[in-house]
Amino acid sequence: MMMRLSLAFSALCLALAPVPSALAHHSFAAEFDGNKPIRIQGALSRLEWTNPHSWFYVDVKDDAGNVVTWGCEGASPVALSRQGFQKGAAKLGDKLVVDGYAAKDGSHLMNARRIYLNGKLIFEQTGEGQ
Amino acid sequence: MVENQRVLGRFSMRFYTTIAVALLVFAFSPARVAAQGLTAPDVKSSKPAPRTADGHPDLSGYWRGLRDTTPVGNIAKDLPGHKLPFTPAGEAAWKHNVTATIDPESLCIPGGIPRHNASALPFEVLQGSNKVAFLYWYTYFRVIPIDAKRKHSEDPDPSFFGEELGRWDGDALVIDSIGFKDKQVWIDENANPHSDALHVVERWTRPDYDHIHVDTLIEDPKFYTRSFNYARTWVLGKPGDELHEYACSENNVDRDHLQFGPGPIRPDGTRGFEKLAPLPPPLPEKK
Repeated sequence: MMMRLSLAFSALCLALAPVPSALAHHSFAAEFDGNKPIRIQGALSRLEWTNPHSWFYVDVKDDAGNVVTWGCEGASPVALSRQGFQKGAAKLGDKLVVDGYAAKDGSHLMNARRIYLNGKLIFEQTGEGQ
Repeated sequence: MVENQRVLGRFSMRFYTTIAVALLVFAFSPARVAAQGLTAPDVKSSKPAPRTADGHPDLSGYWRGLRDTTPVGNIAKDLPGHKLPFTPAGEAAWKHNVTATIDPESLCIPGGIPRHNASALPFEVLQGSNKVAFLYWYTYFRVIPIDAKRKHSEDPDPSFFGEELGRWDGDALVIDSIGFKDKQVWIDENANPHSDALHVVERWTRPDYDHIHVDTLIEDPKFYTRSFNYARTWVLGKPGDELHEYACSENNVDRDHLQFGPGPIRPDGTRGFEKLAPLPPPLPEKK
């Protein structure tokens, strides 16, 4: 259980990690807006271990109680596997707070820069990034 | 992995968390790019380049970009001010690319040449006696005949990599390419253009065991007033480094959300915002 949780921390956050645009198959700035900082909070609801990017989805309740699902783009499975992480390590239902930058087109997609898991800061990307 | 789990299993929950956070910091730090083996610091090499049975340098290997190569993805890397010599048509094509086209590579269209040579991603070379293969991420490849007698076609079918002919010039493998497409192509990741008049001459050398180098001559009289050069060196990957399947169309969520162009270009020729708006204030730390 402990091991599973440890790996969950790692794999979840690796997958949520923003990827330097040079390594991604698209430019960060072509999709996300550096002038649209955003915070979402909710439960981890889905993981897609796919190319060209992995995706984590977070179910977010608005003030009216409606659930909106936000997608967070991560590295490719190859990039994650190079670090020795395996799919299925992340635990669905974990409470997340994610700070980052929203998609330019207004869709519910974001690039994560800071991640809290069950209230604890587990990742923060410093610097200007992309 | 099993052994790692066995070892980790001896430690406390608190230590697990410490390990996880440490891994995360490591994973998300700027060094993460290098940690993934995608780029690498330069190395000194005292070993000569290997040679094939027929005496030519063997370019085979898994090659990683040097960490200091900048700006990556910009074909004007070696030009003063990163300024390309556009013709009026080239200037118009550039404006069209940045205002009306989505990066073709992000739509899972091959980047072609010379774009792949400007990419940050590693690549692999497999060299035979009369053919050489370049293998790229996204499961793209090009196979080039090595035959000094072979001539370009009168009317080659346009393609993203062009009609490529290889020949040896001393210890340099020269690849001469014409016959490129002029739609859904960016010459680099910064959305610079090329036309169907593009002519690329790559001179690949292996100066020592640990390095591969290309000097590239780029001509495109429709879009550029003069030819220009792009040079780059890569370092040999670690033993066991190899390409993996990378199915670009498997789950390309981005394709419906990408905007036209590459986004802002900074004064140093790299892509991205000069300054990001601040994130929301950090949450109070939970013990």
